[in-house]
Amino acid sequence: MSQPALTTDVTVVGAGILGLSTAFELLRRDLSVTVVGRRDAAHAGQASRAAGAMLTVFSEVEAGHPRERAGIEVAQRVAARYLYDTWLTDLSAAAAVPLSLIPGVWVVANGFGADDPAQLSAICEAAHSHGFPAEYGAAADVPGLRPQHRAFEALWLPDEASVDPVAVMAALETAVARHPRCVWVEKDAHAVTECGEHLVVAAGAQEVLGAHLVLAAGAQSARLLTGGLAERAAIPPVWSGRGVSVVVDAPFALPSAVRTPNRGFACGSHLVPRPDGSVYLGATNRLSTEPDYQRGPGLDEIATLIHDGAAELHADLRKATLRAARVGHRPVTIDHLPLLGSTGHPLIHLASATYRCGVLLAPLAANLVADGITAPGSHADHPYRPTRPMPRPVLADQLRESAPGLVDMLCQPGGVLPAGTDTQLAGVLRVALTEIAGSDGVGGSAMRRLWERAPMAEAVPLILEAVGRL
Amino acid sequence: MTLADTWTAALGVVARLTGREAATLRADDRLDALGVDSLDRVLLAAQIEHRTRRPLPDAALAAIHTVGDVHHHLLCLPDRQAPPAVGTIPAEECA
Repeated sequence: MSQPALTTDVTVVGAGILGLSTAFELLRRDLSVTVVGRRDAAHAGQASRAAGAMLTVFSEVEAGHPRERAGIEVAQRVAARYLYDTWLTDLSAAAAVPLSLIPGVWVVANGFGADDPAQLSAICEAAHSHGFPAEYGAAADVPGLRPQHRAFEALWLPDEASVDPVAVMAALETAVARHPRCVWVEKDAHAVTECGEHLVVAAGAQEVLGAHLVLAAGAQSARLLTGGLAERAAIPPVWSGRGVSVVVDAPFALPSAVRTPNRGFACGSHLVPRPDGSVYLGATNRLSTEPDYQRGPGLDEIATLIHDGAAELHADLRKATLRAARVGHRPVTIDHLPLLGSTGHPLIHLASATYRCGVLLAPLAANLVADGITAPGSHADHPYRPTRPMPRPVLADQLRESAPGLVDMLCQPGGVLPAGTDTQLAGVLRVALTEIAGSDGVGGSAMRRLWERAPMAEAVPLILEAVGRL
Repeated sequence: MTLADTWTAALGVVARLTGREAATLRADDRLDALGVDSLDRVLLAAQIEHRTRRPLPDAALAAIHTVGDVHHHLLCLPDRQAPPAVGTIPAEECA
């Protein structure tokens, strides 16, 4: 039986960090907000609570990234970092709970990445060019680093930091839910329609009529739009990078986060200290075009985490005690940049596709999305506007670029191929996959379908696996 | 191709995907219960397209839930329509 419809200035669909930080900001701008999303203890598949939550301003810079993309991403992350301390203080006050950052991140180089010294150099240069400190140190001096395989260089980024995302989410929930102008519908939204000047969100038997709608439901966001709204909003495709992470009691001290540079198709291994003394170990990354948010962490995914973490960061991880394993679906779009602000429909706004950077970008995202509502058109040229044109990468080009990363991925850190054979194997993979992609057989058809669904580097491991299953 | 042939073909396709014996599969077996994941479904689509020589859009693929649904698609029938009585499928239907 349906319940009386709620009316609100803004409906926010999604109760992850982007949805709640946007709701928090809109409430501060004197609007009424209705949040639609589950608020139970499990939060299955939610990226926010599964995140390492390093505020990675520079440490995810890759030497191989196109200069333009790197420039845009770093500038926006710097802007988000400048907002962070004040945002956290305000949130802490609103929720009446203490929240703090754990300063500093070490990035370590070893022999497993394609060219770790080049990655560290690119990270260092990016930090210095924005006036942030970055200092090289000896790997032996990095606290909490004792890998099975020797690291030979380390870069200390004192102004990067980490935060406990579970504590931040709890504070956001409290701050938003206790606000007198907020209503929280604790159900999943299942459809959005248009009715006169309102957008109607249906969640179970409850309907919410909002003057504006913010979609912050990850890869599900656009799928909720019905009755021609999807065509008007023209939201670019969003998939998820499924990631598994664990929280452990580790038999070693870890004062600051320690990580490798990005690796292959993932963010490398990282250990992040939590305020309660536990240690976070992350994270796998597997592109999911049809995300199953209920599927729990696989043993293979956990085994990969432990293998890579012990090989590259601390051998004693194998002696740690497991506290929790989580799965997070990080929303991502073709050009890997976030989708923040007004869509093709002036009353539908998007807060998604922050991929591995949602926790850092949350305050910036909230401002951009809220500005789209209170000051329409104010970010018409922003690089993260959802209406920007999307590239259409070509599979053959991507295979050429990704083949060495496939070899790294297959070997895993610690796997050693005889000198020169990694290049040979990458060449064979590139040629074989390109040939199959061009064929009219079952393999070619499957590869093209995968590529049409998600034309991005992260689809290449799926393509390899699909061909392997034939 | 006879109905029996397409049934055998459907069983063969699902058996290859799942690593199960074709003889153990039934029409109402659900693909997800047989361990078919989203990547397997892409391979399933490619095999159906290859055999029927017709494109299978993602929406139609999403509506395939059982071994029987696979059979229906190999017969080039729309979703959820009962297959014809046992006999010969006219060649033009699968052209």
